[in-house]
Amino acid sequence: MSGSVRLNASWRGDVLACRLMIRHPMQVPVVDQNGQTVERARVIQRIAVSLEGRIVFSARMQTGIAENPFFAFTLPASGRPAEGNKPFKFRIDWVDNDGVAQFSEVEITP
Amino acid sequence: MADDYLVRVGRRRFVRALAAGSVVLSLAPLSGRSKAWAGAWAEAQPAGPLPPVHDAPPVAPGLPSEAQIEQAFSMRSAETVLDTLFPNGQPPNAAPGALALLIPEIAEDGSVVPLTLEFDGPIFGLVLIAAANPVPLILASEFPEGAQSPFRTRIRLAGSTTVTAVVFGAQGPTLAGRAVEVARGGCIQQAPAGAPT
Repeated sequence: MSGSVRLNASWRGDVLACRLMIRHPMQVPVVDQNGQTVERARVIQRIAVSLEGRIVFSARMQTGIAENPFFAFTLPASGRPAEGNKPFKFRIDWVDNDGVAQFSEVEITP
Repeated sequence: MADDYLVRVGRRRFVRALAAGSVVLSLAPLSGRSKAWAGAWAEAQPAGPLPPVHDAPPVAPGLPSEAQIEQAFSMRSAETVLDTLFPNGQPPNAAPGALALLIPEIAEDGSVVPLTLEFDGPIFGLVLIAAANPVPLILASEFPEGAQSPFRTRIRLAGSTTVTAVVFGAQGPTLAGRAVEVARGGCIQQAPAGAPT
C-alpha cells in the first residue's frame, strides 16, 4: 500500500506553491472489546522535502494526520532559478513506524 | 536579500558555502549577487544522501528540539504537550488578525478534517494539537528556510475538541485555538504503543 508520492509546484507570484500528497493508509490501531489489537498502527512518522539539496519542509506526526497525508505550503524562491524553464529538483523522504523508508525525486518546471 | 539569506543559513553551512563561494561572490556584480551566492551554495553541498533533517540550527526563536517533540508525542493531554514543547510557558495568543486557523466548525467525518493556517509573515515552524485525540500532538513541522501562508493539511479528530495551532514566526511562537464539533470521530482507538521513530 505504500508507494506513490505526488508533489506539484507552481509559481504564485514570486513564491512557489507546493502540494504534497503521499499514498499511505495511516492506519490507526483498532482494538476489540477484549483489548486485543485487531489491527496495529501503521503511520508515517517523518516527512522531509528538500529542494536543490536543502531541506525546506520537515514534519513529524503520528496518528493525527489523515489517510493519504496531504500538505500544501508556499516556499520563498529567493536565490533559486526563476528565469527560463530550469526545473527544480525536489526530493521527498518519508519513514513510517514499520521502518519502511522511501524517497522520491521529482523535477518540476513550475 | 543576500544579507537576509545569511542570517537564515546556519553558521556551519555558511562556512561550508563560503569556502567555495567567496571567489565567485567577490567578483559578482551587485545585482547578480544573490544568484551567484545561490550557485556557490549548490556546489558546496556534498553529494550523496540527504542531510539530516535538523542539521541546521533553529532559525526562529522558540522552536522545540527533536527530543522535546519526541517526548511530546508520548504525552496524552494537550496541556502536557504544550508544557513539554514550551517549558518556559505557553506561547502568547496571536494578535488579532495575525494568525488564522481555518477549520470547519462542524466536521462530519473526524477521520478527514481539512485545516488551513494563515499567518502574517514568514512561518518557520508549526505545531498542531487536538485535545481530544489519544495522541494530542498532530503535527510538528519546520520550514528551515521559511514558508508563507497558507499552509494546508488534513487532520484526524477523535471527537469534538479544541484544535490549537502554534506558529513560529520570526518573532517567536504565537498560538491560536478553535473549537470543532465532530459528528463522527476519526475511529482512533488508541495511541500506537511504543512506536519507534
